[in-house]
Amino acid sequence: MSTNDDWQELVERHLRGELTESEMEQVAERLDSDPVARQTFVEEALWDSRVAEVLRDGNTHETSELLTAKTSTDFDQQKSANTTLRFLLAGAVAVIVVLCLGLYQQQAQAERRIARIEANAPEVKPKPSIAKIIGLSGSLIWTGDRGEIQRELEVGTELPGGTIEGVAPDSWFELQFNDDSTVMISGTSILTFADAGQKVLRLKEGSLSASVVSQPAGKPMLVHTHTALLQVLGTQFDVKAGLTSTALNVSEGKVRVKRLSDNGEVDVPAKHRLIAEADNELIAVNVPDSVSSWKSELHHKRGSYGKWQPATDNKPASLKAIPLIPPQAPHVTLYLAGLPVDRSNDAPVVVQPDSRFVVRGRLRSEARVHFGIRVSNPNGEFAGMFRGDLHDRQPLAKLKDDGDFEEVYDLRDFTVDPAVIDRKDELSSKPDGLILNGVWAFTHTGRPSGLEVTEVELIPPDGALLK
Amino acid sequence: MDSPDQKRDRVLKAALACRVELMAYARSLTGSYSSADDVVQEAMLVVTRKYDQFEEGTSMIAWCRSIVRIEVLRSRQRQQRDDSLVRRLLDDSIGAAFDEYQTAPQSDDSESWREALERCLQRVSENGRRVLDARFVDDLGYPQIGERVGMSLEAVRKSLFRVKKQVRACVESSMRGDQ
Repeated sequence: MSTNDDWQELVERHLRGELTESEMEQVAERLDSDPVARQTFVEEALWDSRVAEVLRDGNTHETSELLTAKTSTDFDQQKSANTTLRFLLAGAVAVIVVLCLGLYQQQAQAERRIARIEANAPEVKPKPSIAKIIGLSGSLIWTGDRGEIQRELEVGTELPGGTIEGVAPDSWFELQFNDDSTVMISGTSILTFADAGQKVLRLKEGSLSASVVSQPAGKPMLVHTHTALLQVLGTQFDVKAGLTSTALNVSEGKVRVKRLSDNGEVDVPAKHRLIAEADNELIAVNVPDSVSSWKSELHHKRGSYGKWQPATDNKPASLKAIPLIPPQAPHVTLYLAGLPVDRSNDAPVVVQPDSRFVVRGRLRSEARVHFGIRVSNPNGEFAGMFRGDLHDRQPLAKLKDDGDFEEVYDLRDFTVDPAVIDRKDELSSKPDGLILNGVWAFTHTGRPSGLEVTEVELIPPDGALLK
Repeated sequence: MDSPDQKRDRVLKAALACRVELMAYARSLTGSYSSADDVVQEAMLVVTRKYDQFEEGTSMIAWCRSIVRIEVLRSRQRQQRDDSLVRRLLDDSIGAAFDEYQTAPQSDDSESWREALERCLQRVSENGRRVLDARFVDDLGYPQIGERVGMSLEAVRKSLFRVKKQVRACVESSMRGDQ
């Protein structure tokens, strides 16, 4: 059978509740990522329901017998069929009478049902809160388990669980559970969380950091990703999940990691990191020394926000800016491209004082290219977001003949991003010495600027070498 | 302007016309024909009571789907079933897929579809029909169907797949006017 046939069969079995938990996860992932699969799913569900309705009604069976009788040319068969037909007609009359009675009963039953629902049906009580939002910024969407969707979230809002999605590189969200454990997502990440006596999280994609107090015996916090299951008793860690790998850094305590592809397990102690993917050795290693320079690798990493365009013979790979409407300014449309800085795959990237960021790319016409970064503390906790441009005073990027530009942003000019200005007392006032997690560039020209980022580079101060 | 009775009749009629589509959605969430049937019935009762909340100019099927989803959750609550994380994520993904791709039925199409389906089912072999009935009417799994019709599990799987494909091709051809 083809892949499409396999998908149809999976959907068919799903409609009958025959899927295992892992097959259900597979279906969810395919639906999320593949529009053709979504369309096929809906068509299959409709098709299957139509067939079920017709077969259950049994119309075809009777029709078939009637038609058989009609088309038969043999006299005896005709006679026999006519007899059958008479029986069928007599039966049909009886069925009609029964149906009428049934309909009458159904109507009465329906009325009773309505009365019961109106009079007695318990109102669905809101689920108790399991956690409170203690910090957020940027575009976020929370989906509750009743399908309600909320975009206007506030610090202090109590949540009963659900899914939180950061939709832009500058999004972040911090949640405090009732036992004071905290988790935070940043950038374009999707996290589902629940706590029914045991905290269960699913990081579908993106980055999460957590500070977890001691959990009840036998009920560690569970963090599911595509490739691994993390069991956390009480610790500080950060994790980055992708489709093919999970990268974990543990700052304090210990996290047990189970790789889903082979059920291999390993304990990751403090100051160690581990990458769980199908074809590598599952070993925790010391967190490597930090580095102070970094360069994006768009030729093989797609970025986190924007339209990735592969390299051609005469153009390097690029990330094209796409629209973003900031929640705090819904009348504004920015064109933004964002990149994660993969601390977990390599050594952590520390932003040294007096460093410079260089952004290279293309523009359709001269425009101000704004630039921002997101940083964390060495233990993975969110430390702040900063803007490297001069806001309205940022000069227009100078374009070469082919529309290429190169903009330099000195670290000494960086200021706290307006998106987190209300938390400036709690967060770092400067990015110096912190770990770089993400960068983004955007234009605010009121129309598409054609911004494409081809490279972002962090250059340490003169004389600084890779540590 | 409609009287309340006229509006109720109109809304109910439009909601009932979406029944099979709502069954498809409810089955996707419940994984069972009979549970989906109960849920859609409950949803229709809600439509009867809350018809005045339907906003003219908006999508009837989308409104009904939102009611179905709430009824599915109520039903799970009544059965004291706690949803797993995967189940909840899957529900969200399914909801998004239906929002994107499910459209309101055209009444003529639904009737012709049903007639074509009835005709095409008549062409299925006796054995194929037994497999279909076991799967669609009695909700049996592959091993149980195998026991009933004396086939191996793999043979059941292939037979079911082949018959469904044959019926579907017949219906689609019939709808195009080939037959």
